[in-house]
Amino acid sequence: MILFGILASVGVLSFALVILLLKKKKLPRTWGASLLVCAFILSCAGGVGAVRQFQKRTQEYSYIYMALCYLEQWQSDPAALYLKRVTDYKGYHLTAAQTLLEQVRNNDTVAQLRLDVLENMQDGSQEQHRSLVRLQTWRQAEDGLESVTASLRAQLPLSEGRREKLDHFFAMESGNRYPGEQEVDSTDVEENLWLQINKSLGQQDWYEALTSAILLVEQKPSASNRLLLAEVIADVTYCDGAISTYQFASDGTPVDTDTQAQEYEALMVHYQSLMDQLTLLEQEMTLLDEAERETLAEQSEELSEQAEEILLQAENIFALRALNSIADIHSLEAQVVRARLYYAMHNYQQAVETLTSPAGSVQAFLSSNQPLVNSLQLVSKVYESNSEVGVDTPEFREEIQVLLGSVHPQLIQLGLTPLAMDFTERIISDQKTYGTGLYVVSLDASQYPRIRVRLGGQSEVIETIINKKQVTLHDTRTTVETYEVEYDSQGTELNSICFVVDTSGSMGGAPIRDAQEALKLFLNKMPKNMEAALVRFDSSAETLVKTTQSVATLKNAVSGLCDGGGTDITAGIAEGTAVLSNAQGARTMIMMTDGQSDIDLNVVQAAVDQGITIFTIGFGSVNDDLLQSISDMSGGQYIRADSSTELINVYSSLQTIIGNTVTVTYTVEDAEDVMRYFFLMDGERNQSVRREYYVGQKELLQEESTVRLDNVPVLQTREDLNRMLQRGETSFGVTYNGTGLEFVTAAYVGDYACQIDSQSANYLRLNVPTQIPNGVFTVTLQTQDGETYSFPDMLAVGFGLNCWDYRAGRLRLTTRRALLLEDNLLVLGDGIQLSEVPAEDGTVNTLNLRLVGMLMFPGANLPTMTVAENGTLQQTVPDQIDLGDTGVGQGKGLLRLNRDDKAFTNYVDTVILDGDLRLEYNLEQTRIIPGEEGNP
Amino acid sequence: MKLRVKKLPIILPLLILAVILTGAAVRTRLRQNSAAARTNLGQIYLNDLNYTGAITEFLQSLSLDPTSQEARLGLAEAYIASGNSDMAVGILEPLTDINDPDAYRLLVESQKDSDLHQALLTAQKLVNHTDLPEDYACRDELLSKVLAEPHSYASGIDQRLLMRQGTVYSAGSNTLGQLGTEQAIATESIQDTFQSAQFSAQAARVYCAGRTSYVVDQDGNLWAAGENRWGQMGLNYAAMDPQSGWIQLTDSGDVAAVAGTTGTLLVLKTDGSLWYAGQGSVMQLQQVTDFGMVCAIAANDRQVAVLTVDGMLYLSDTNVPTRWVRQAEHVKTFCLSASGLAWITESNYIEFQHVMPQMPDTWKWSHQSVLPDFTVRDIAAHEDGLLLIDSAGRLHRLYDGQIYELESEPAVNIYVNGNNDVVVEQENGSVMLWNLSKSEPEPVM
Repeated sequence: MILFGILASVGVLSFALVILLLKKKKLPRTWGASLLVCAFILSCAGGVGAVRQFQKRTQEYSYIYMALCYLEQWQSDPAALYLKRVTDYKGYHLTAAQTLLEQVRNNDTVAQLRLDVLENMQDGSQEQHRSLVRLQTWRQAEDGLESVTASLRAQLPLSEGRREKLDHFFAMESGNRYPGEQEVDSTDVEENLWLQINKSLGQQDWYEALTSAILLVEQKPSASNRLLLAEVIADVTYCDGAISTYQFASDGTPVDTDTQAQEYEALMVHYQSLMDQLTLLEQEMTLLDEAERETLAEQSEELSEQAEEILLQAENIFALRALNSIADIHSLEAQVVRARLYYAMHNYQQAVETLTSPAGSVQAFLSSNQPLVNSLQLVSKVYESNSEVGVDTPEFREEIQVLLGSVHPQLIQLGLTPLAMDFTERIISDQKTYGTGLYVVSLDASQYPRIRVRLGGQSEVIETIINKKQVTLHDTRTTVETYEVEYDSQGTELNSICFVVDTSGSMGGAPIRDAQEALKLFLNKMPKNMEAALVRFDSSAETLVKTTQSVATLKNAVSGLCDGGGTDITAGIAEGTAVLSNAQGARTMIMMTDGQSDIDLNVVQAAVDQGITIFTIGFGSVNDDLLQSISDMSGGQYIRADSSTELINVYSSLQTIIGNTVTVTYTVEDAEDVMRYFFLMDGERNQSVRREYYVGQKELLQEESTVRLDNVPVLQTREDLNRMLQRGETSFGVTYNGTGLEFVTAAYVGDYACQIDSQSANYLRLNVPTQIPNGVFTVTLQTQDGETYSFPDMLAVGFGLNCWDYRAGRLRLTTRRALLLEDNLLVLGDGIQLSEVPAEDGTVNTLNLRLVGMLMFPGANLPTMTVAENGTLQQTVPDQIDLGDTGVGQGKGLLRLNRDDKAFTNYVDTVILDGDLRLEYNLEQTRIIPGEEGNP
Repeated sequence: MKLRVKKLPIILPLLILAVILTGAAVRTRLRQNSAAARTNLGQIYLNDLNYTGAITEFLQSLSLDPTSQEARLGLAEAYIASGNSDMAVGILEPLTDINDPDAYRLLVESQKDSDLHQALLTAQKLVNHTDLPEDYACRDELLSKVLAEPHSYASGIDQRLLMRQGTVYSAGSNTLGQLGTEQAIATESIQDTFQSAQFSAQAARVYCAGRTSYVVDQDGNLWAAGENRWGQMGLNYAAMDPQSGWIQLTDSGDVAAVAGTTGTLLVLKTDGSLWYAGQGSVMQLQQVTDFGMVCAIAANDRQVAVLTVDGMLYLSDTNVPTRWVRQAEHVKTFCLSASGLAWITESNYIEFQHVMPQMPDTWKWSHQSVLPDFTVRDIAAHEDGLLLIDSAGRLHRLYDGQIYELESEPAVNIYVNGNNDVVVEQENGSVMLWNLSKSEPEPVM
């Protein structure tokens, strides 16, 4: 402003000086004329510049004023758009309004930072200081917001007249009139109409908005007004508002003929006839064989496309006319209006192209509407750069809303209509990446140190990996220099995809339409090496199309999707698995849902077993963890969309991923770590992937045996066997519990073949020959597939010992069954109680355990005993047998803690050991040491 | 020459006109590039340590071009330099969403002084994406700092341990030798006051699990005293009788922390690996291979919880920690008390496994999560209330729906002591014990 003022002053002074010099004839006329022209140019340039600057500054103050009015009503969106329109002025008033905006939006940290900036900006006046204090404290007062906005508005350097006008403007625009305020009736009819349109757009009163816009064009058919009418038509069309030819009649006089209605009727008749043909064709198709159906399906698809085209024309008849009506306007602003019209007609691609194409044009270079040019260039840049940084931010949203409303910046509501909001979200969705461009399908470490990793991703990334260009491969912080890459899909391999679509009640309306559109676009780009199937599910699932390469058939089925019922994801996946079970190509399932349901993961496992990769897509109130685990289990990806409007981009992203897999194989050289990871980075696209894996026990562990016996041996006395032999019984029954026992076909105890008396999965009863000698025997089981499993020390046969109490070091053992075998092998069995012999007075017994199993003490120090002729043991045993101060016992079984043990705690599992064990004792301490379990 | 002089009066106005038009055009062009220009200016201000100026310019640049990565990084750097690190997270979010390493590095720098756990989470994201040695070095340094957080007080079922300047003191019952001393072993008598636990090495941290006491010495070796029925000490045997004295369990010098219930022992080593011994007939320490790197473990009398460096929180509800259930992700720290788990997410939400205590009206809260109005660095939750540490180390006690900021020595960390009180480790080395139903803590000894 100062520069322009100086320029104008210099011009005026020069003008006066030259006149003076000319009068005094001290300057040649030629030079005089030349200098006068120069002075005139300078003063004009300065004057015009200064006036424009003044107007611009006043305009920007007005925007701030309006923003404050909206903020007073807690309406932050229009306020933000008004503040975005302030492009030149960066001073105190703008920062104060921005601070208040952030406060109203509860962005307290940003607000605080802006307050800090504001403190440095204030000029030290009392007014500004008071405003600053109010900004810091307004929340504490009931009318705080009203007070602070009034204060900030009062500080704006605007005339009273301008303020009144802005107040009226705000009242009209927002429909929020102050108490007692009268309806505005400006003498400027055009301005009145603009206000009316703005207000109607804000209230989504489409009829009123359109009527006012038509009236405006009739009053003054300028290019700007025609563009405004086209914009209003776009919004009305997008929101399915009613438009009739009568609205376009001059002065409200009814027209003789509603040409649009006639045209609409004609188009609808055409549409109906096409639909009738389609119905007939479909009826015909049901009677034909599959090959003939394929042919007719293509015809059906053509008819369907034609019908859709006609319907689109009929529904968008006014939008198309609006497009034609502004064909003669070639400004940048007209391009924005065209983009809105295309978007209203759901021609999204054209809408975006219209918006991005003028960014680098000569028009943009010469345009004086710099904010518009900047915004267009920004949109163009984000589409070209493929970078999503900063697009999903409030700033970018506001920028696009400003762009869409930039044709008529004074009509703030044009940037806030449903069309503008949805168009903005669509642009943002376009920039987002759905799913990762590189991911691990599976990692196989079973041949460790040989590692095989199957990777999936975008074709460009996969190509980079194949070419090994700028690829970094690490295994647990070590660079792998040598690795092989094998491309799984050679381009000729068939890909079989099954779309599993949620058609539950919640998908009604826009979601199902968006899903249909997304699927159709996917099918339009379906490559030749792909076949697809369609399954729908709600409370149950149904196959709509089995795997086929006929796009027409698939699209027909997609068009017929309709909503209703609950959500049963399990049913959907099961049906999809069934459909893909006979597929010839690489199997992929794409399951989309917007609801929650339980899932039977066995169904997912069944899909995985069939080599099906499942990609899950979720939006709305889905269970993210569940969908993530489904995709994790099958080597797919889970993609979360914010809303159904993103489905097009989600499916489109998946299309670039599916079918591109590569297998990387390498050998690990440094094999120390148990927990390892695979890492691969495509340096060109900055895409990386990492998967942890484990070596050692998990990978090297042999499969758990299918046949197992519980660690509970059986103790059998010789005396009982002798009695059985006397009764002529040739065998005695022994029962074992375990798992996998239904597969046992033969059993041996030691070398003695036993008859299987009865069996089930967890139970096996054997008939053991009664003539079996004394000893401790291994039980050997054979299964029908020839596998042999051995379980040592599962049967002990010996003379019964009539002593229930034993001492081993400081340990006391009590039992109800004891056997004595040859070489003084003492076998204690069944339930053995273990307790402690208190060391000294005052101490307590801290130990109380029970072993359900067997303990053997070889060469025990026992009283002399002999075997009588009748085969029984001649014994005189003490109440307690002393097993010595030190020693070792071997055994097996289930060792548990009793409640009286001092280590017992509620909620704690009392099992100490289940399996083989060794008991080491002396007078100092007693230890239980786990032994090796009986492996097959 | 004459010709030129004659034409000059004609050329002069044209020249002036041309200069004005060119000036106008140049000005217009310059304004087109104002986003880049403002980024440059912001960078200059940043180099001159004029952070307010830099913030203003970068904000303006982002307002003109929200997709500018340079402006975003510059703005975050300016915020961090001006002491507003909290702002940097939001500003860098679009960059961290695409795993930009520079954004992560900047965040780590900003977080490592005020919130170690948050910095560790960020550093792990960085290494996940870059796998570079220098980033690992940064991550490992942060992990070692997190694992070095003090743990000077512990209580088991019937014993308490306290560590003061390397010396271990114990109190309570010594029935199974859990006090580490010979006095009153295998008797029912109770030692009410803390007395020397006769631990001969220099202690660094103390823990209790059931009736077993553990000490990590300053060399990183693990010692134990007390019950070993399940073989949880990892010595390849289960002891049947009470033993006095401390048994050295490891000599590798790499033990960072310990947690466990009766009959179980989880050992967290300094390399982030987790080891287990105890119930399930596991009588030697075995590496738990269910997780990647672990940065924190905790236990109450029924459950054990594990937090991995990538923010996954797992809980095992059984005595044998083999069936881990993922409870939450994006977790920076947590606590486990009798009333279940409570954790802080990287977005500063406090979330609860079970019932959430009454929260202040000024905090945004939903069914099981709440967003405090300050950055929470550590948490200790108890059925009586919550104790929180903010980024400056100040303590905040939440009780009966009210939040109280406490004037006390800054705290290093807080943790739930068994199922009962909260332990506050202060920067001056003192340890306070807090029953959250009371307004003031009490010194331990």
